[in-house]
Amino acid sequence: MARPDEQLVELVLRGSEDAFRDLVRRYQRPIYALILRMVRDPAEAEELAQDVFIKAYRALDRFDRSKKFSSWLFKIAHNTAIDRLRRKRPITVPLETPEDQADPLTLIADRHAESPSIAVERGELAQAFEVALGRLRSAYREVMVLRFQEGMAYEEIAEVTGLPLGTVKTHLHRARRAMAQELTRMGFGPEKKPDESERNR
Amino acid sequence: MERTLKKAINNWLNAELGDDPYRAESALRRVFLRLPRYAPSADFVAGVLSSLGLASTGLLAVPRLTLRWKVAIVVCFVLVALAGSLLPGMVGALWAGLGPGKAIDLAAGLVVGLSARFAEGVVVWGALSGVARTVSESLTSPSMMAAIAAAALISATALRLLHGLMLPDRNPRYVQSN
Repeated sequence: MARPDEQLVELVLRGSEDAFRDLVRRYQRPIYALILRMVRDPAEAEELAQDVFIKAYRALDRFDRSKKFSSWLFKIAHNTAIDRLRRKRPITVPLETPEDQADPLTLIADRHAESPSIAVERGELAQAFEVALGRLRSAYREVMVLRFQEGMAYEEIAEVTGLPLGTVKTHLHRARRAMAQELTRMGFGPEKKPDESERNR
Repeated sequence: MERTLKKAINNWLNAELGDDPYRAESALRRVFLRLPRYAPSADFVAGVLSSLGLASTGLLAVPRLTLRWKVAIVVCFVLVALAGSLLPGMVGALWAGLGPGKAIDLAAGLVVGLSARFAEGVVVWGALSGVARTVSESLTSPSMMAAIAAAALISATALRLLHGLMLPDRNPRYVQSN
């Protein structure tokens, strides 16, 4: 059975390298995924994600153990990614991206796909979704990932990003709307009923 | 239950058209769950540990064994201990059955047999050496030496031609099975 974060943190502070290795394994994917969606470069995201864990290890003795370890770790990830974005111009990808200028994100093959055709379909759809996500401001993108990928509550997102609670909700609302508009423009959306189609002719 | 990403996206967009933000958020969460999962490289963890100067999963690191391996090691030790306890008894029983007299007889018979075979070998070797002497006397004549040299030259030339003919057949394009 997996040990809780609090127990692992306690063990790391006592010098257990295995406990720290477990923490890294547990959070490597979500931290990497968050940073990847913010900086839009896999190599850079991996480097930054490693920095996050290094910083966390070195600052672990200052971690307030009454708080959630995951929130604290994501806050470090947020600060690390924001620092990097401030030092360079963010990458923006047009929605209609030619094949030879594809989004820098490389999608990992989905091992749980039911069939290759479904994997291909999901790959193309996921690409379209990621492009739409990439067109959002980095602040909107971040709250979207924290809310809908990591399942964080509004309060936790506010703690991680340092934004007021109201701003978090506003960002999420606007980000959802903007993405919905982009994807609808790309042709996604509910199919019209046959009688509606006839009426529109 | 949504089976594809496309359906999940369409359901979310449909929910966005309504007035229920909680339904829309729930639908969008299902979209994210259906996206491919991003993962860093396989040596990410090792890279972090290495940067911090911590123990990595290198050759010197003792791996954590699963229960199955631990059980296997214990069973091996038990079997070795069992064999070790039984082996002296088995050797003793064999010695008692054989007896010292029989053991000496066996060894003596072995020595006698080897000596007899050696004597037979000496006779055969003598015959062979006679043949070799005759052959070497005939081969050292000038005419015979010239014939041997010519035969060697012709053989070498033939082998070279054969190698040249076989070279195209060794090209991978020709040996490809499919």
